Amino acid sequence: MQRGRVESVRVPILAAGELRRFLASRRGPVSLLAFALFWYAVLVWAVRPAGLFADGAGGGGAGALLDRMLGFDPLSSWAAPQLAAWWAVALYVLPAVAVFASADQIASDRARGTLRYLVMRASRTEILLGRFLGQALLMAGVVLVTAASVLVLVAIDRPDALGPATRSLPASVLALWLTLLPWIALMALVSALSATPGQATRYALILWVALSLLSGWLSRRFGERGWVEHLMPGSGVSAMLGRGAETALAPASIGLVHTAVFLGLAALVMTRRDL
Amino acid sequence: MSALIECHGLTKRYGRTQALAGVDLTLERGAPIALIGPNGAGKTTLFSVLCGFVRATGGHARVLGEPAGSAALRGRIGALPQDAALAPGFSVRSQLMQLARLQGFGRTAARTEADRVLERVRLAEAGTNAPESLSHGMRKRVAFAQALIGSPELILLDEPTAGVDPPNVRVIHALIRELGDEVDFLISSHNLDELERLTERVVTLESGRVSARGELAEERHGGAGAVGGTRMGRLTVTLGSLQGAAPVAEALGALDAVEACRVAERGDLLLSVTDEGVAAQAVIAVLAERGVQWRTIARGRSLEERLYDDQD
Repeated sequence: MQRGRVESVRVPILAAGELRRFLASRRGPVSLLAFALFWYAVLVWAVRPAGLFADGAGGGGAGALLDRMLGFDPLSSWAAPQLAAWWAVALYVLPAVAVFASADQIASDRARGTLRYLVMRASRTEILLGRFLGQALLMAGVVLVTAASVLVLVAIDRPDALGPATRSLPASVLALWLTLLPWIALMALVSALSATPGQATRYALILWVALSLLSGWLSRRFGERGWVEHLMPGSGVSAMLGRGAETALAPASIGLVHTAVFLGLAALVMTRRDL
Repeated sequence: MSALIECHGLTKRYGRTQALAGVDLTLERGAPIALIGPNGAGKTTLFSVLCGFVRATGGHARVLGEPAGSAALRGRIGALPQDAALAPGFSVRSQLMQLARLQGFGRTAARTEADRVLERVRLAEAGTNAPESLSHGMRKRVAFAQALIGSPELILLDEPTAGVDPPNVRVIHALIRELGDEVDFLISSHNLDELERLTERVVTLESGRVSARGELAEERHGGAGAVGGTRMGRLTVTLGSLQGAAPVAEALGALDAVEACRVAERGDLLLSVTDEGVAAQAVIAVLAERGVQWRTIARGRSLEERLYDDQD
C-alpha cells in the first residue's frame, strides 16, 4: 500500500479544487457574505471606535491607561491605533472563523463517497494536504480582506499614517495567517476522524476543552514553564497581542510546529482509516 | 502477463464481523466477470479491498500484478462504487476535469477527456449541470463516466444499475457491452438476469469465501467446472402466462427427449434433456398442439435457477 505517497503536482490541483468547492457551492458565497456583514459590524462598532478613542486620547497618559485595560499599548507599537484594534480583534475572531470554515475538509466527502473517487487517483496524504492548503489559501484571502478594510479605515481616519500602516501590514498579515494554520490543521485531523462536518465541529470543541484541561493540569504539575503553554494551538496569541507587527512573527511561528503535528496525526488517521 | 486479480487468504474483519474469511481467487483477463452472492457475503468488501478503499486484515490481493490500492494502479483501474457520488454544487464537467487532472491530464486535455467520457455515457449535454440536478440514473451514468477517465484496463462496478430506471439501465448495459473488448470488467450485482446478459464468468461469494466459480458458457452447454453444473442438457421454457404451468410440465415430462420437467419458483419450466435440439423441437410441437402461449425456449438454465433453485 502506498496510501501516504505524496507527489507535489497533485497537492495544488486538490487545493484549487478545494477553493472551487468552497466558492462554487452555495455554502461558500453565503459564508463569505455572512462574514463580510459580521466584519463590517466589527469595523464600524469595534475597530473604528477603538481607534478613534485611542487617537483622541493620544498623549495624556492614554498609553498607560490602555496598557492596563488591554494588556498592551497600541499607541507605542503600531503605526495607527486602528491597526492595533484590528490586530486585537482578528487574533481572537479569525481562529474561530478558520475552525468553522475548515470543518468540512474530509468528512462530507467521506460520507458521500466522493473520497473514493479521489483515492483512485491521489494518495490520502495528498488529498489531506491539498484540502489543508486550499483552506489555508482561503483564510489567507480572509486575512487580506480584513487587512485591506482596516487600511481603508486608516485612510479615512488617519490619512497621515497610511504609508507607515501599509508598510507594517505584510508582517502582521503573515503573523496572523500563521496563527490560523494550526486551527485549520486541527480541523483536518478532526474532519478525518468524523463522519459529518457537524461532528467535526463538535470534536473540535471536545478537543479544545480536553487540551485546555491538559494544559491547566500540566501547568499545575510542572509550574509556569514556557513549554507547557506552547502545547495549545493558538498559544502564541497572548504573546502576540502585546507586540507590534514586526515582533509578532516569532510567537506566531510556534503555530507551524502545531500545524506539523496536527497534519502528521491527520495523515496517520487518513492512511489507516477505511473508506 | 500477470493475472487480472489474485487474492490469497484475503481476510477482512470489521470489529466482530468477519466480512472476508480467506478469499483465494485468481482471475485471468478476458470476458467480463460477475461477482455474486447474498447480502453480507463480502462482495462490496472484496470490491473495496481491490480498489484500495479498505485495508485487508490478512492475506494479500494483487490487481494487474500490483498490490491492491497501490499508486502503480492509478489510472490503470476505474471503479464505480455502489453509493459514491460527486460533490453537489458545482458542475459535473469541472469535477470530472479535476479527476482527470489528478490522473495526469493537462488542463486542456482534462477538459477534452471529461467531454469524451460524458459523450461515451451519452451525457454530453449534462456537463454544465450540478450532480444534484440529474436523475438517479443519470448520476449513475456520470459515475460510470468518471470510471472511464484515462481509459483504464480494468473497471470494477459495484451494483451499477441498482435503483436505476430501465432507460438508463439500457444505456449502462450497452456501455458495458461496447467496452467489453477494450476493458476487463468485474461486476458485482444482485441482478442475475443482468449479469447473465453481460458476463461470461461467475465468482460466487458466500460467508466471506469463494464458494463457486466458473464459465457461464460452459454451464449453458452442461460443461464441467460450471456454477453448480452437471453434464445433463437443459432447456428453460418461459410461458406466456404463469397460470396452468403444472399440466404443461407434466405433458413435457412425458416426452421421450425429456428426462424430467418441473416448474421453477419464478414460473419457468426447467427441463433436463438428452439432446437440446431434438427436445426443443418436441417441446415446441407439444406447446403448439395444446395451444399454450410461450415467450422463450432457451438452452441451459438461468443463473438464478442454477444458484438458488438447483434441485438436480
